[in-house]
Amino acid sequence: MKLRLKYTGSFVSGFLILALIFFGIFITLIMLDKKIFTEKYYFKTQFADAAGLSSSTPILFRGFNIGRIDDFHLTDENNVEAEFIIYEGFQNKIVKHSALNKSIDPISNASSLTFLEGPDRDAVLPEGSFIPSINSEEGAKLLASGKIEKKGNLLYNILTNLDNTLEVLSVKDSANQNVLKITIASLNVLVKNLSSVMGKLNSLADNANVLVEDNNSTLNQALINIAVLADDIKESNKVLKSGLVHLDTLIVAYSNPGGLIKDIIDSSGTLTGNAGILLEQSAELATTINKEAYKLPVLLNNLNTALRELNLTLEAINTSPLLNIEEKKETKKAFGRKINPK
Amino acid sequence: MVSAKNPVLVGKIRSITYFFNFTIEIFYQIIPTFKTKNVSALVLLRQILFTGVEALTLTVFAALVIGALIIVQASAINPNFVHSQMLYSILLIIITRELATLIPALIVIARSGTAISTELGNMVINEEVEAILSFGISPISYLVVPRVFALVFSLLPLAFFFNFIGLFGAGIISFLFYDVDFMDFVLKLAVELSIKDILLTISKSVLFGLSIAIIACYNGLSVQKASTEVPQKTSRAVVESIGTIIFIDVLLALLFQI
Repeated sequence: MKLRLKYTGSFVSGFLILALIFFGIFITLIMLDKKIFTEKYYFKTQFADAAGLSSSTPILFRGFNIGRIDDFHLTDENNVEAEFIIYEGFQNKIVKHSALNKSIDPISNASSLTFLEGPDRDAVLPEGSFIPSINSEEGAKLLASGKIEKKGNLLYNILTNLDNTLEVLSVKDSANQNVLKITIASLNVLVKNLSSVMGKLNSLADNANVLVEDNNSTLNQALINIAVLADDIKESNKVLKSGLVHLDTLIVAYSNPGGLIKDIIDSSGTLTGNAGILLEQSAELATTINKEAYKLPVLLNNLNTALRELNLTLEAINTSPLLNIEEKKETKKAFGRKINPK
Repeated sequence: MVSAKNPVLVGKIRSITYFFNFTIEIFYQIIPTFKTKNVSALVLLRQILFTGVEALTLTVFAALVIGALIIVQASAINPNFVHSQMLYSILLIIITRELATLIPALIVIARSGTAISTELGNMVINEEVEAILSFGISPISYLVVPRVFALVFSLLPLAFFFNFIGLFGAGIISFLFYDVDFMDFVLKLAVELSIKDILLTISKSVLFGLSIAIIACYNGLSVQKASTEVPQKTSRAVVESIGTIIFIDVLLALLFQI
């Protein structure tokens, strides 16, 4: 103790210096990871939206972190313009016809940017060049021309294809929609008329009730209502007939396998292509699941053990004398008067 | 009118007002304290020695064990978890953001908070505080301010020690028992480590140190005459300190989430 008091200054200085060294190590680690001392090369890109983007979203190329997003903003044309950094040593990967692929993991909701390298590795682009994202028109053209190959999360790809399929199904300019529209409009009128008839029938029933009470004027009113109702039913019948004719035309059109049904499901032929890709990816997913299936018995066995242990624990809790709740003691009474516990 | 009807409420209001005045007085006395640095520096150094250096062994032990335990418990759920990137996020959330400041703060409350409160309480009873006043020295400047500084400058290094040793312990266990390359561990940890974690550690340590010291000194100096008041005030200081650091912890966690 005396020694400690004698060298208090040294002990305290050592303690503080060591803590400062640890602080320095943490700061250095952060600086190294953020590549603060590395030379950076700036490039530009454009995205359809900024969903999942942040000012530090990393850019990955074959699993390597080759850069990150530096800044992004919304333009007057409602595009998202972004500036990104490529770290020293990877600048030669930025070649002509390269693109960026922004994907959001549907499970973790984390976004990632993948760099898709162009075919000509010698055509290195200078700093400040524009690299399209595959969501943009230019990027889509590059993808369609086969100059770049989109690789990403399997689940994400399946969901994207499903999304495309649903988009195809909700066609906006199909001629068949006219027939459907007319049919739906006719049915709508019919339903309105039927509703009106029901209202009048209710009113008639009310009048009939009053009639029972021997009121002659109400009887007359009821007879008039019946006459009006007959006219309305005649009108409704006409609309119903028209609606049925349209429905009949529609059914005939759909019953032909080469007719409307084909057009409405796959008017542009994209669905067939997407379904093919979807099936391939589903097969891939099934293979992956098959590979992992052998783990299921082990998992079930573990679950079984866990449940058995849970059962034992619950039994122990149930039978524990410490957890038995005693009934509240009755309030003591003395000479017939309650004593208030304080 | 209020005092006649509710003396307990009046007592509480008076106590809170005294506490705020006491805190303001501490900040007001910081500059005079450094003017009399010859006396205060020794008190400061000795307090850091007691609060920081002597608490180091327990802090390092706790950090090493907790870091190792996180890895062991995580691998008990799933052996592959040790190899996933999520482990590093969890390590940083548990160790750096929460325990690195909370555990040293609890150790400091248990060792130094109680000691300060008892020491000052006994000084009041032995009329030592009055003697200091009679020399024209402010007891806040001479007794309280160095202790406040000492606790802040002890908790901050202790938090960094806990951080470093805790993460190091986790790395060692991963390397020895789960075949994780140590350099790989450090690099993956660096990916998850952010400047926000360091700022959170610093801000929590400073606020924890300030609150523990002020509460302990206030309770110690609020002893009146009887020696039986000393343990009462000490236990009160411990309870109030723990409550305050938990409140600050939640508040800062919410602030940094926003």
